[in-house]
Amino acid sequence: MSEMQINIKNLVKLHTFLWYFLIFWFALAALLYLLELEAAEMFSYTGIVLAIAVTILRLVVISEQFRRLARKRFQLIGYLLILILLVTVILKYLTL
Amino acid sequence: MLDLLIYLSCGLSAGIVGGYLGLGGGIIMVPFMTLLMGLDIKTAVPVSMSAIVVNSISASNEYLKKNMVDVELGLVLAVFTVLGYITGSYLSDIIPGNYIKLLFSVVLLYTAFSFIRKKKTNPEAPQPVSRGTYLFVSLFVTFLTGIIAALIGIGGGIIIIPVLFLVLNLPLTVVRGTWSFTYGFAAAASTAVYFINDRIDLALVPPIIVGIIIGGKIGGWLGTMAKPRVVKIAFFILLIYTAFKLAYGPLAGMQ
Repeated sequence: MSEMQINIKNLVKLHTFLWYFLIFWFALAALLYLLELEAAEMFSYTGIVLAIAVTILRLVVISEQFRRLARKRFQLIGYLLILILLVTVILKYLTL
Repeated sequence: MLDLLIYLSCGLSAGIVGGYLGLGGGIIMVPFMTLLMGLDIKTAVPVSMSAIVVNSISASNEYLKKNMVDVELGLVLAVFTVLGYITGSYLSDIIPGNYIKLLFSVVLLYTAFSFIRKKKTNPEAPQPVSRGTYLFVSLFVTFLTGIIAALIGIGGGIIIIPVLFLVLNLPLTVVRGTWSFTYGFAAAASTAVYFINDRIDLALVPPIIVGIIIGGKIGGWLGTMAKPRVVKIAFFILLIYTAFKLAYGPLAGMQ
């Protein structure tokens, strides 16, 4: 029996939205740097946090798609990856 | 203004090359920033890493649209690449990097010639191994390559793409699409660590990311239509370049 595959169209929609969102955000930050405005640094700083956050969002969306297909193994792999990423960051933060 | 345009073109070229080959683009950005712009490698790598996170979203979308991404394999690759990087970064204190670099440069040369000589894989042909076996082999291979990448300090794609193509016999388009989908997860962890350590130059990030996000889309789109022979030649050149770059440092140090 072949296993159900996740809905690629949903992933494409998510990636397309993130593409527009990130290009808008960083273009604005670049423009603010060009105009030498103070807010530029804040936009760049927030942009990096957003880039990391959307990576986790991608993983959540993929894992949830696997959950809906009752493919628990891949759902768990997705959440395991989020856990590894968070643990790596937290451990680094704690050892600063 | 001029600097902004230069960094924008750096991101754009990294995005096009990276998206086309399924790589993050660090192989373009880091030499560009260090050799052309005179930046310190400690500034260039964190900036390039943050751009790679975004490039993954941009380039992989084009491969996703053409159904050239194996999402399940991508998840497995991401987990074991990250675990390999972590293990490798701990082992780097124990294992002498120079010998590994020399040994691995020979392996890369061999890989380059095997890669260019390998016959085209038919995507319609049944896989020679079962799905479970290939996921198992790929997790072992990516864990190992993650360790090596961390030990010798190069990106994972230049190792993992040829290995998956040669060992698992997967079509080159699927390997590139899957890796472009995957590397963002591994790069996000590194970016977060650099970010916490305050190592990212915030002024350089916006133009490079704007460039790479546009370039990644163009490169990914071109990559979905790329002829395997052209991709093979490009990889052959990159593998030879990386092998010589790896061997140069230790050999120069011995003299």
